[in-house]
Amino acid sequence: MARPKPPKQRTPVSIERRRFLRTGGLAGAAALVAPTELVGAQQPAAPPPSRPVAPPVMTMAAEGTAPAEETLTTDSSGSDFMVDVVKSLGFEYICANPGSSFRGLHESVINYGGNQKPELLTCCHEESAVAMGHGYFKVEGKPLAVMAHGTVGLQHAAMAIYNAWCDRVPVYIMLGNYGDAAIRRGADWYHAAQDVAAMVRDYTKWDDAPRSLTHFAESAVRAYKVAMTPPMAPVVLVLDGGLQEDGIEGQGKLAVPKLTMPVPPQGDSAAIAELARLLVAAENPVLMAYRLARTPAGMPLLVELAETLQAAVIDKGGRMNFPSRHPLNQTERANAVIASADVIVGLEVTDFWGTVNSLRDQLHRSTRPLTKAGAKLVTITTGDLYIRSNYQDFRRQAQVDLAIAADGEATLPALVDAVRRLVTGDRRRVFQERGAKLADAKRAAFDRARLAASYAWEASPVSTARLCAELWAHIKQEDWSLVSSYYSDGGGWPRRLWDFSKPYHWLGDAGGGGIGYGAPASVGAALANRRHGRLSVAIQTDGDLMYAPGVLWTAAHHRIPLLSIMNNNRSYHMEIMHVQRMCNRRNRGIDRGQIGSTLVDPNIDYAKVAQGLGVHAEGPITDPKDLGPAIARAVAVVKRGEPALVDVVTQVR
Amino acid sequence: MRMKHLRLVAIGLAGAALSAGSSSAQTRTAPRPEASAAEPAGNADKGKMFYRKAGCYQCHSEQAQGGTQGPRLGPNPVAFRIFERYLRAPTGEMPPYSVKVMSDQDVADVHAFLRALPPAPPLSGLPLLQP
Repeated sequence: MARPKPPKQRTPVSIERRRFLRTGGLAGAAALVAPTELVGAQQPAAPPPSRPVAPPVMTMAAEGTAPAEETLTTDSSGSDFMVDVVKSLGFEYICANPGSSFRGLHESVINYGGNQKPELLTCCHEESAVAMGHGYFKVEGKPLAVMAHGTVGLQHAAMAIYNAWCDRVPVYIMLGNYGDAAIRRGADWYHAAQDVAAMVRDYTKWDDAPRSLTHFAESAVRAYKVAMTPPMAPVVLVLDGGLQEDGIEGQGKLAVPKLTMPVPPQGDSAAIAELARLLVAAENPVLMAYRLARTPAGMPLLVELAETLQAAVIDKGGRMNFPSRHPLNQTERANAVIASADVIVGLEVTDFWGTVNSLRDQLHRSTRPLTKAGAKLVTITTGDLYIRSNYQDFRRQAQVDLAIAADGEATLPALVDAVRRLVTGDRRRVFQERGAKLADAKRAAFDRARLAASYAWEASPVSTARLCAELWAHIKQEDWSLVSSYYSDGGGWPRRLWDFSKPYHWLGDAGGGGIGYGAPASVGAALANRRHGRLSVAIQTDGDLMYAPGVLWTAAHHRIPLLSIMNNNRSYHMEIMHVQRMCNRRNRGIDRGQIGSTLVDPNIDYAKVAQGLGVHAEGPITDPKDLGPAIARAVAVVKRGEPALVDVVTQVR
Repeated sequence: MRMKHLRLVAIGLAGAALSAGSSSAQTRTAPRPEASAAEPAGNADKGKMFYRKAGCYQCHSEQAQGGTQGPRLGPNPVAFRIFERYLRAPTGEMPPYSVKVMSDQDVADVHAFLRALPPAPPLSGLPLLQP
């Protein structure tokens, strides 16, 4: 992890740059900007060319005097080389709200780089840019790049970075900064800092502030490697404004370093054997997954393990871990299967303690275990390989019997093999009986969900069950992807009613719980789905959209097809429930709990908001009978390649 | 930035037992039309207003059909005395409603509202909810 560095020594470059200004007429532009040869990775770098004699230190008066003949243009720049490196890393897109501290890189991306791979996407807020990268990764499995001011831009971006870090999602962030005070224009002073990355260092995995282009190249490749190695997380590179804008002469032969990705760590073989023995011998084993499915290979592996054992699976929803209608998916019965389990395996579960214990939020908080006495608890997680101190995302310490510090997905193949080797004919018959009971319980749970959805079917505001049923009817024949994080814990209607079976059907939640993630992450995920021809669908909550609705304009401008169905309950409803709890606990004002947490008077017209941002929109819809036709019209728009929004006034939950 | 947690503990009446409606898709029971002799008289219209005013809808939804944070309460609610006992001293996550903020008459009115709720339409008549 990088630490604060002393003020940067940019004297050679800055002096050389000033020398251009003073002596350009003498030296000649061509000689000054001759591009340094770029060499391939792994080739030895040639010694740097001899440098010109440094001119005398300039005085303020001299700086203010225009030379008779100036060299005012150049054919190359440091940021061109930066684009070469960025391209080598395979970025498809780079998101930014424009800012002067990275104007050099901005120009190189769109001109030198041809605005392709990466293509620059215009964002209206840095938080949106980073959250788009968050959502994009969850579909595409590779990071999106972001440019931002090192100070004001990073401060805007910080919340989204925190979400990505908590969710262990890589976002590649490049920040502009004028480190050399002698060349700062007025506004540059506000956009400069000694240690730019300091404010997000607690919730990024690595950062650096390169002093040279070679330094940049190595750090850029290292940053990518660090970000993408499980446990993944955002990384930051601070790009000096002078390094971006100055020429590449004097930087030696520049090379793009080779990128070699590490193999994620697999669990210890003896520990895997021990876990396999526990699982095969167990009467009621439970497999619990949160961020297990790191790639599309994750879900099939968990299915294979579960079917081999005929074990109950609880999908905590951090990723698309297990098909929602699989007979072994017991997510809706989580507490029941936990209570009867004799072996519980947490697979990349961040809050394992919270899943096997209950914390009661009354005046005096109390806890109790949900497991039966003697149940064996096992974890497989990269969480045991990475922990930070300040932000408390590591949760309570779970008392487990076996902790395997490894990547869950990488460990599953060996675990499946180990289990298969131990299964006898007798155990297989026991497994089949267990599986049949779980399948019966699954069918009953599904029937209960359908029955529960039928209540308040004709109600206005529209019930959330009706909303989800109407939406499902319009997408189930499509290659769909639910890109919003509407209730990730399995209690939400989509996961109770819909058939989630593909890796991109469900993308998990915000990670850090910061509201404002939903809309931009949905747009980023829809961007990734676009090239696959998928129908991206978001159940968009109102409070979330109001953080940065400008991302709808980004979707319209860049023709990102996304169907947003507003779950408009006209409130920050979770907060209402918190305040209500305080009102009740204190025996006063139970009818005032809504004050400060509603979005009424005036009601927000999200259709007009979206229309003003260039998005097809209808609503507000209050009669459930109007919902189906409106969704059908919106789907047609999205299939044309554009975003669309349907504002539905809903019940609170 | 307001931080929120999607898995915040529920305020709702914990436990599906608070609605006596069947959990089976095949056997749904109709709401009981009248209070039993042991129940105080309640006014369903007043109960509907108090249900919202007191924040019951926050977890149990507008028609008491239940939600992610609280179970369905009606139609066909649990017996009044069980309902009242749980409101006063919930054993789960629901915040307590003491006599100071919800009188016995308020409780009776809310219970009357729950009893008066219409049944859900037959599941077989809702194509969108077929498997």
